[in-house]
Amino acid sequence: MTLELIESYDLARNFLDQTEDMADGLLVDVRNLSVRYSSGYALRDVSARFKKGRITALVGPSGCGKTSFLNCLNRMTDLIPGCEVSGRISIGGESVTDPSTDLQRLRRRVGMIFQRPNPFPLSIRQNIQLALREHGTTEQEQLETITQRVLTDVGLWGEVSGRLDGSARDLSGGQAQRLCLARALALEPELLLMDEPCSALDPIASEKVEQHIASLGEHYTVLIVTHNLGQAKRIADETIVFWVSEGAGRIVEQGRTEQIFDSPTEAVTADYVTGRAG
Amino acid sequence: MRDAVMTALVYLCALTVFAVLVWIIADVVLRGAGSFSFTFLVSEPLDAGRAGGIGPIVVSTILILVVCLCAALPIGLGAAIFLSEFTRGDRASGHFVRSSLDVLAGVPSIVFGLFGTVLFCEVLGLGFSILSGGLTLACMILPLLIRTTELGLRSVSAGDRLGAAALALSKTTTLRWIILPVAAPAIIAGTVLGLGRAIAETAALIFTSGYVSRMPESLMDSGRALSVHIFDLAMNVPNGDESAYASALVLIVLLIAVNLTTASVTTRVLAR
Repeated sequence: MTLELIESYDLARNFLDQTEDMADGLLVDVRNLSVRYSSGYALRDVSARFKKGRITALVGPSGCGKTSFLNCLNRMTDLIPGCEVSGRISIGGESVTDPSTDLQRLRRRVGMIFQRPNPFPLSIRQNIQLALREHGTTEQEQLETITQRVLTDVGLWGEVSGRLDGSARDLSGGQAQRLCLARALALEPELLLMDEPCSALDPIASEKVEQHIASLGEHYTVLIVTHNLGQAKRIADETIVFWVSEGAGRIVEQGRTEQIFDSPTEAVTADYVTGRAG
Repeated sequence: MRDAVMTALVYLCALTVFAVLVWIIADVVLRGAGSFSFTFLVSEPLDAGRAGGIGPIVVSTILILVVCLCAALPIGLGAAIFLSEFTRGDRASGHFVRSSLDVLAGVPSIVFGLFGTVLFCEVLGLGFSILSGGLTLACMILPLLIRTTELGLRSVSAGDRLGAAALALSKTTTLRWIILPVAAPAIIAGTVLGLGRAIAETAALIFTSGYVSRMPESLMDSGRALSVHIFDLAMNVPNGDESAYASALVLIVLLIAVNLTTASVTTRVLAR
């Protein structure tokens, strides 16, 4: 009897927590996340929360677990042999880490852009429509509308509208990365994960991709890993600083971007953003 | 000075290889061209093959190859997909299949011939037939086909695979639309290599598809393959050399044709 009472109290508490969170605009809730590979911990006991409609930059030196952190959010970690994840993550109130989580549904809700542009060896049109078809959009007219909309969103429509059936592999690096962005946007994800999306591009292409990411802030929630502090400053509403301590990646500080860069509370952050460390 | 000698040696080696090839082809063409004609290609062999043509033999050869490919392609593709997509390098099952294939690839064709006789002709009751011969050849080329296809499938970049997973594409969709198109040239190359081996095969066919040089009426009929015909003319038929060379010419032209066709298909697939 007592146990049942406690259980129902817990349920109610959780429910209240969630409702508060929703009202607060909370989208991603990460609690006590640890990631371990066979070589050791990449992340240890990390907690963070992200609000809807914000762009957050994940910064820090190489090897401090930023990419591992992103990979946990859409369970790409499942594809890495020997990777163990512990802790709890929920996105929009739905659990990510629960073993019974529907991975297809999760990855449809959480899009990902990689460091190297990876358009499929198909036509530009197919690159966008393949996933749409897979997830139930079959009407040709609707497919074409979505294709045009997302290509316009990433500034690619004018450049490729005449050759939608041409191979996506013929696009330049910057165009290919914007196509990958468009491909992810087509599924209307609640959250977009980007792992250094500009680092493999030349400066001009990089600037263009960056502009389009910045413009996403109005409609999407974006987590972007970047080594380019200038980029973090320009596009991110919030910044979160990762650092390696005691052999594993940890979060040092999270806050408004201006605050992180202008008046950081941690000494490590101050050293990092001024270029004295990292 | 030493460089000059080395250079000369390397050129000499290349030249030797080329010369042997030219010699073989020239020999076959010069000796075979005399008795080669369109009639030779379509008429029945007479007088144990000394006269007449090789019509039924060409038909049997093609049927054997068709049976061989129909059996080997789907099984080979499936096994290659299993190896590259469902096992990781260190998994015991993948390792087991891979090592069995390597052993299988080294088995002499005569052994495949004996195996085919027992399994297809006797146990499965298919008798000496085109079906038995084709299936035996399929067993023989499977290892080659599977390993080349697997290499092709594995050459698909991690970026493509991760990209597909991140878009929540199912395994089937990823395979059909992303992995297979990228691996297509390797699959085609593997098929041609296998087909080349199959066309040239004699030992595995003597005991399975047999010697009969009549026009086959069904896949259950015995049918003599070109290579078996050449072997027979050269070894068992006195004064059969002329016809043997003419048949060899047809075999070589067939081989070259297969290679050229695939080369052009591969280029077209790659250009897409």
